[in-house]
Amino acid sequence: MLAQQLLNGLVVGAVYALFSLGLTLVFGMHRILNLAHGAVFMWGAFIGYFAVTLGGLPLWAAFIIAVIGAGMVSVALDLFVFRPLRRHQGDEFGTIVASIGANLILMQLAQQATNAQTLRFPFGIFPVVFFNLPGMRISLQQIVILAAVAVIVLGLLFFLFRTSLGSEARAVAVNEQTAMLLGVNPGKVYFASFFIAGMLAGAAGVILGIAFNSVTYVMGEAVMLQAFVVIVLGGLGSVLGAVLAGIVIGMIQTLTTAYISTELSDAVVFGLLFIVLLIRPNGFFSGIHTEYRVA
Amino acid sequence: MSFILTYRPLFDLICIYTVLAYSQYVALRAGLFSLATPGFASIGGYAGAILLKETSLGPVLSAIGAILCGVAAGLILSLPLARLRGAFQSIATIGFVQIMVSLALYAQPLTGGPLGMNAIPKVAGTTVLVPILIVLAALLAVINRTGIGRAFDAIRQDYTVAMSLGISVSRYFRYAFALSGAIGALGGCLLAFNTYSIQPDVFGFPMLVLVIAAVILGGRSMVAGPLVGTAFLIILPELIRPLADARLLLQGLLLILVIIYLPQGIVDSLSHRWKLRRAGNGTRGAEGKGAHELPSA
Amino acid sequence: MNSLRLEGISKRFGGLEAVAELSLAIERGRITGLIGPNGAGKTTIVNMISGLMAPSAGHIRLGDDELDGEPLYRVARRGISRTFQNVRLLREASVLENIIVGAHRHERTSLLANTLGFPAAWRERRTFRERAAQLLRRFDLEEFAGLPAGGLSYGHQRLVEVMRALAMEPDFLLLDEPVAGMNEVEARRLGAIVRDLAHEGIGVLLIEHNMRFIMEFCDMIYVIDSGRLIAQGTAPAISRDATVIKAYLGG
Repeated sequence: MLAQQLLNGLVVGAVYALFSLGLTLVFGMHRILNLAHGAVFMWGAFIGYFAVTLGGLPLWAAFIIAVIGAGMVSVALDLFVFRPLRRHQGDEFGTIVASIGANLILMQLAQQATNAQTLRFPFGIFPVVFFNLPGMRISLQQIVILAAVAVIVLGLLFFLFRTSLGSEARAVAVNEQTAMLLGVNPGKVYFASFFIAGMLAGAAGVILGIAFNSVTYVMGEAVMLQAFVVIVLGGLGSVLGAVLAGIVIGMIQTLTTAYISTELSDAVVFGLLFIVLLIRPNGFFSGIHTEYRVA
Repeated sequence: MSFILTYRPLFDLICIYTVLAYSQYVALRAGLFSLATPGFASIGGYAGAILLKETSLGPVLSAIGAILCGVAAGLILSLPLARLRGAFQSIATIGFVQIMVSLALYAQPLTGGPLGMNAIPKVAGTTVLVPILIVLAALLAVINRTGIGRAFDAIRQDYTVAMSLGISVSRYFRYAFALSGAIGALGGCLLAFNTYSIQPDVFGFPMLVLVIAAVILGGRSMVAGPLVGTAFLIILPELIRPLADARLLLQGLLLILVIIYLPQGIVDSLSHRWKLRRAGNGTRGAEGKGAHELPSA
Repeated sequence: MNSLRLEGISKRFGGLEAVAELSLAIERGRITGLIGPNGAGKTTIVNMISGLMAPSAGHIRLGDDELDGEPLYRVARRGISRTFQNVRLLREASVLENIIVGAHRHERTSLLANTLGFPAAWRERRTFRERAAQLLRRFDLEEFAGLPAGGLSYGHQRLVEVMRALAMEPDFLLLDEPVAGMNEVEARRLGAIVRDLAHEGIGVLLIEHNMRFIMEFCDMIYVIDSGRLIAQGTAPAISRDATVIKAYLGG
């Protein structure tokens, strides 16, 4: 039983990691806490849903469209919200407030479009196959999710550490002014980081939408708290940190739900956030270096 | 007469939400990125309602009890957050608001769960709300003009400079958290004592947005700011009925536009412009001293 | 508490050594100059003294007390105040308000007194305002008192920053490139004021790149290059020093 819960936690955690990666990257690189990230995730799920139901596309195609679509929503956020703010000398607080506003708009649009109903992917969208292992059962869906997340994370690491655009992104993360002096075009980097963050969120959205068989306009809000803990625990800007912390949080949440109660799982997650902020706010991995202390 | 009666509930709501906006205002004034106000309001609302209904403490003592709970919550939040930078404060306080909603939903025996608490005696009518609001505004005006206001301004505008002048940022953050908690709890308590009932979702995201929009729109420096912002946000949907449905969408749009193009808010921008004009008149003869040059940086 | 001394201070950023084994002394009542080309580590040194960053090695002593590692606001409370290389005023606040903020270290009234508006709090406010007004008179900038600080010319903004640093009534004043961007007249005026301040007993550390200004106003000069001390002495001695001439004029 425990092994089964841990496995379930691993899978949920992997998706949390996927979702949180985008958030932590954009914050680590640009000091932008994008509170509309949850809405991007939600739009990814919706785009995937409509690609299947209205477009009649097979799942794999819908997934790709959703991922790209979410990337574009994310880039639009930067283009219409964060970039004008930067141009008008906005500060960090300004980006937080603006992202709250953007989140609201994206959510309201989705609410109006779906009449606040819960949508479900068509039955049988993903084959239901189980494999029996000692002490637990693993479904094909879970295997595919884990594989997909692993591939995506590796792709991200490859991008960051092996491509020239990736190294430009890392330079901007350390210091934007210096990077500009070295000839990096920050606009290109902003575009890339927001696009990638959006893609990651969109992928997580489709996966979660199928795994939990529900797509609603509030689904983004439900995962934001977990994402917060993940990015703090994992260290702002750290890819490895987000992955490991995501898995840890996923497991903790699953275990709490299974052995204590569903209601308390949120409180436990928040309690964890509180403790981490108290004893180790910089997280357990230093990623792209950001200063955390004020006084 | 019937005009007043028709609009009284709206007026009451403006008073109550201005109190809540003041809770947010205190935090922002001090440079604290806290969004915890709805959480404080939840604590104050439920504590006040429970004390009033279950004990014989009466409205005043119940309200004081609620406020003290708010102070305690603020101080607890300040334990990790007073020495961390902005983004962390936002993350933690948003989480805090969410948890408070969860707790209110699930602590059924205490809070009545999703149905909330009902039949709360209306002990905070307009005649109570207005004096409370005036006293609160006066208190905040005093704070603004004394040492605390000076320290808050410095910390908000440049915390490194503030520290280089000997200001202990964490001490003032703790104070701001406690004060924000007290005022937020007061607002929540007034909401419970005026509207007969409270539910968990009253203290959720919509309140968070309204309160932050009110302060951003109205202004986070002068005391009149939150009042102007709240009044605007509550009255506008009433004036233009079709807009009322798209209320949240508009608030979102407003937040973005204001924070980009009028970040100081209405009241502070007007006051700033008035100060410039007044000073410009006085120094017209000192052209040569470079009073009108703006630095190129 | 007559001197502020750096003993063998080093600062490393990752693999880069920004400051290496630097020793210098700032005496009260004297103007000490720190000069060096861009990137020599001058601002890093000021940041370490004021507590913005901790030295990687070495000690900073105020009289007999050790300061290294003390946080920024505690260093300030000990009577060490500074200005910043890129002027950091509170742009929204008026000139007067900017200066008053500097007096924080002398606040004696409690948080409660300030919240409830006790007479003591108002009295203190009045005292600070008078002090700020005095400073404005001394610098001959009274008419700008009510203007938002962001609207002043660059040269005037620098002066406001100095006044703010003085509102603290410091024992030691660290001026980071105070005359950058000023014209001759303004620079001389500031120099004269700094000399007065030294006569009143303040120990001034003047960091500049403007050689002439340093030579004219400093009693003791330290020359650094790439984080190391390459010469120290009085102005005449420095102007004849071969290593200094080489560093500055490229041999």
